[in-house]
Amino acid sequence: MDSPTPAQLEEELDSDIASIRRELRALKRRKTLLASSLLSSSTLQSHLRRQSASRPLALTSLDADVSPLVQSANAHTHTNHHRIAFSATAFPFQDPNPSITTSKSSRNLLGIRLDICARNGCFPKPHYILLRHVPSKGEGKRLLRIHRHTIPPFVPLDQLERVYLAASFTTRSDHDAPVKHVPPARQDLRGLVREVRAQLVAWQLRLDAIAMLREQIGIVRRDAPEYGDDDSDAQGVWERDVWCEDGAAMTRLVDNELGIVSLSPTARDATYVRMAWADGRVGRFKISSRGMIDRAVVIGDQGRDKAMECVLTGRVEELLERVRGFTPTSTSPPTPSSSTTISSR
Amino acid sequence: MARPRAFRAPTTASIPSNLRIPSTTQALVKSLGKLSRQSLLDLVFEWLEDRNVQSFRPYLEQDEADAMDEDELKPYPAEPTIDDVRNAYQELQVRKGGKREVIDRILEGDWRHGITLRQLAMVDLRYMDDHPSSLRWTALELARIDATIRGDASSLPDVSACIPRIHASTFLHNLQQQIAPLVKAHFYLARSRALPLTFLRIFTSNSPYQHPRQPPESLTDSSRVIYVAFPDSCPFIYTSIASSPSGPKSNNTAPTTQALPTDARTLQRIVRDAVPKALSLPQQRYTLKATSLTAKNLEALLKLRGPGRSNQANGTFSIFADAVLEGSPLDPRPSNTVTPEEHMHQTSSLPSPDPDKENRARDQQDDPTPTQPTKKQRRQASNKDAPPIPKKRKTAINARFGTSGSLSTAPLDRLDVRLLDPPKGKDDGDNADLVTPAVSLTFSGSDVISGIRKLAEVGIVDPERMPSWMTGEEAVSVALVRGGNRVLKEDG
Repeated sequence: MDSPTPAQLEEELDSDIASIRRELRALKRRKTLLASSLLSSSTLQSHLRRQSASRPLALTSLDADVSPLVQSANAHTHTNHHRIAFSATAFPFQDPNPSITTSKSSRNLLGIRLDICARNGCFPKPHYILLRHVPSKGEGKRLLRIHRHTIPPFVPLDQLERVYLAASFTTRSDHDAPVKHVPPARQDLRGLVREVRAQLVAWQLRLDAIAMLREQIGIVRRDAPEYGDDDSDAQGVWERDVWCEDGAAMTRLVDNELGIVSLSPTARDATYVRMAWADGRVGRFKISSRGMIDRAVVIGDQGRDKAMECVLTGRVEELLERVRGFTPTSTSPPTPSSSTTISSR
Repeated sequence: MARPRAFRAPTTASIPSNLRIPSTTQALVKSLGKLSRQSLLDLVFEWLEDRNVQSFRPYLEQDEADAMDEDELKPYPAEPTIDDVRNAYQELQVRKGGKREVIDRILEGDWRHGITLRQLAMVDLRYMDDHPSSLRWTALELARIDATIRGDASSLPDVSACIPRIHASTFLHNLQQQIAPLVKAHFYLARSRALPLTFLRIFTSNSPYQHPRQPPESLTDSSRVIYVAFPDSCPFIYTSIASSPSGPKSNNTAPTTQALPTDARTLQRIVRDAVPKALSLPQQRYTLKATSLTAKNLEALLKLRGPGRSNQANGTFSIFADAVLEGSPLDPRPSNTVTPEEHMHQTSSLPSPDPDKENRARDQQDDPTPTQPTKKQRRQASNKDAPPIPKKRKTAINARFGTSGSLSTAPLDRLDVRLLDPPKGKDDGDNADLVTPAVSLTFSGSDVISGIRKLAEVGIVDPERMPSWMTGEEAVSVALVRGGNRVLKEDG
């Protein structure tokens, strides 16, 4: 055993320092999290309120220090409660673009934030719509049109805007000539937000349903794709979720008694789901915005598998139960060899 | 154009995938040589996989027996079975060496009877996966031609109204039907391995009426290849053809009236015009609209004309696309105490070069009292930075650029701007039809918007007064600008 060279020693120390820094950062983050949770907790808030109510004039130094923090925490909690409860909240925003010179008010945008809860109780990134005022001819009406937004393009926001926001028609007609359109009677911002939110929620629910089905079957994941050395014993197909945070991770369904090797959305909007079985059958179904599978197509080597199509049709969440209830009566499933399901890492 | 079904020349089918290009073609060495050694080996293993090996059969001993080859001077003896071929490449995989020996082994050894067009297409697409910026892509929007939208809220349009579903074989069949009388082509459709895209590689050979057979070199001619990329779930397609699409009805019938030039560009144009028609369904016709965005980087296209959140929220508004403004409603921390990186959920993985990129400009109106820690951090950061950026300018930069150019970036390699304002009168462009010298600006580089942001940081560009197209807010690479705002048409 020779003593480590200085370079090695340095490397070791560097990695030590890096890990300590990482830990410090994590601890700091935890501290702010805990501190703000404490500040916004209802017990503390009510306690402070009671205390300040008991002696309304005595402003100690502690009060002066604490109160801005407490107030901002309080306000933040309120906002969060609104966002959780009502899902759509509005906020003002000022466009810093200096080229807007027509009027002062056109700089002020109306922001709408949509928070949608996912299956695990988390909230994914909120969606925003920013509306701007359109100068209207008198009558004191505030006409709005969509200026910027973060709604994914498979939600037909343009068409919804044409339906619900009267102003967007009059200003857009110049370059949208081929679209024939009957202007709506009045502007309906609530209707627009309701419809956009409904579509976003439906999308989230579809994603959740597919993720739930995959989890019910069971998934294996590996971090980096490898070539040439796939374990041919395992039947599942490696799939890459290009939309998850770490792009390189791939997941695969574990071998299951249903013989399903793949179940994944065909595209990002998760309207269509593709399935594949170990015996070569492939299927595709569409999830409606109400969570129903209205139609499914399953094609095997011998043509359409109508029985399986009927089984697939129904609520999407109960898909696996239906398939399970169906499988024993049909051809015996291929016996999975459970000893060879160790995934290659 | 209703006749192609009735008229059946014997050559209207697409070029078969198993058409072999003789391995002696010099251009093949060049095509294969684009790939790295590892990519070449990966491709060979893919060709030799059980499900693929029938399409890409290597040259085996039995072929040698059939062919009765008289000269035994081939450097690579034919292997007896496919497994032996696999082993040979496994050996190459283990051994270190140049890629030339792999290419030689492919062309003179195991595929000496020729590389099929499909193999060549796979090579090209593999190259594109390895080098996502190798081509210039133009984003085009698919729009419904005859969409009639009713004004009543009860009959809402379909969700997927503008997103054509692509069923690969149907689409290719339709496309082939569209172009068959005019262009002879080979199609290869493949999914990108890293990006949410489906690539279509179209090799346009000559028109079917050109009879003298073409030399094999023309089959590897990269100028005859068109790429079309279909991003998932969004009404855009990207093509590698630079020219803008023709109008919906302009020259559909023109080619039949006059003698058709059969150069590569014309054939490409025919194919490009056929793509929206092949995507169309009865009662649902599509056309392509230009979107003034051309970029080399596919990720930039996906960010600006893609299925994600950032199509309509760039520049100032990128804070919304990246959701760095506020956290989730379950987060108890007030948003001004959390760094934007943390909001993006990427802090732990990558150490950002500037850990204190404060994006708090907009928070000032939400919450006028910034708390202690951010102020302190900010001061520390400005002490650390070698040329300290004044706080006011930094705030302005963050307000104008948002996260674009720093946290998230859609690298445009070129930005062409034509200014329509008369040089002096900045207030109004009413007398623009007088003598107006056109001022055109062209920015080019690896990432133009980041560059402008850097310029603003060092004080060359005034972040408060610069027009919004400089922040990338318009998400275009070609723009006409009047009074600082982008105008859609020169006359409008």
